[in-house]
Amino acid sequence: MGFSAIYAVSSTDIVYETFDGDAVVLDLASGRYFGFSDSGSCVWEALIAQVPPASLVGRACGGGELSADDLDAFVARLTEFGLLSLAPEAAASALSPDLAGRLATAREALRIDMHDELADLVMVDPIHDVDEPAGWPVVKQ
Amino acid sequence: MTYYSVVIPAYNAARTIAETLRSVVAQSLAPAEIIVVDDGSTDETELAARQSGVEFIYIRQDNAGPGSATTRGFAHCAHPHIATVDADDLWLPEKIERQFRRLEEMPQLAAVFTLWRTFRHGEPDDGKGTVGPGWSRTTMLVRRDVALAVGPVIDPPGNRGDMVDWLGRAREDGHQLGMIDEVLSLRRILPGSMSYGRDPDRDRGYLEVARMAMLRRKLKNAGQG
Repeated sequence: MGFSAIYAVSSTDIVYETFDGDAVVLDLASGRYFGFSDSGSCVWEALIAQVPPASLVGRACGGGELSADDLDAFVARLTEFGLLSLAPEAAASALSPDLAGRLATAREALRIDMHDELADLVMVDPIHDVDEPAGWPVVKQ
Repeated sequence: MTYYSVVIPAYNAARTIAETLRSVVAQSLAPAEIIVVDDGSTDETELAARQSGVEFIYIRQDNAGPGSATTRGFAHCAHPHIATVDADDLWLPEKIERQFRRLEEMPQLAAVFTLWRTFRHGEPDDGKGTVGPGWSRTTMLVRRDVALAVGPVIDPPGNRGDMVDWLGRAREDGHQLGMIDEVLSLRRILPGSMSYGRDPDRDRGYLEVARMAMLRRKLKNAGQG
């Protein structure tokens, strides 16, 4: 992992959101979805905000510090799953105070969990992608 | 035991619902009742359905989403099996008969689905559309007791993924879902509707479904721990 390496979400098939501090990522191309430990959610959010992983080494995390090995392994998993890829043209960002605070109070080790039990259903979900006047689905406010 | 109810949730489906209804009554095994749940349409969905000449029970509710409308329909079903279909899709004539045959062969199944093929709105089905497994509302024939036990069909934000969530919950509860390896349903593609695009507002529904699945798993694990 080069010190200046920056990552970005690898494709538009990868959609994500954070619910009450828990990041959820879905690969619409495979139907697989991913959840994280609390520290994993923070690091995922940092990485997609273009924070270089190397800049997270030594950051306070759950009473300890993030190690280079742990971050390397975590980023490797994210890239293996096809969620992130290198973004050599991207400009580095600094870790936000909010994320730094959440990371410091995280209680679990870096972890990502892959789930595929809904994959066959996601892959074929009826995508009658029509606009409101034409029928479902409509976007509810 | 081949009495079945049909539930058709409909929202602004005036262009398509008559054709859907006609494909339902054209089944080789006729339905005992057809329930159209109009989810607060602002077009002539009801009129178009009535002009089809097909008899049905009409229920109207304030706009709440396809899952809500489906759940509402389930509650009104009076027969031991329920078939569902979106108000723009079509069944081929032997669909239901084949599904009942499968249920007879494999009584352990809680629901049976079929392959479906896409066709373009306004054009006749030329048999060349994309074929795939129709894990969907349009192809489902389900035992009524199972449908009620699985519970409401929840509408995620953007109305994407309601059946992903519901079928996922059915499988989590141990219900076996079967797939007939034959095209017996047709899925309509509306012009300009192919933007299966990564629309963040709509894709959020799938994320919500994934989130709910993870929360259920966490609760289950906590209960076992």
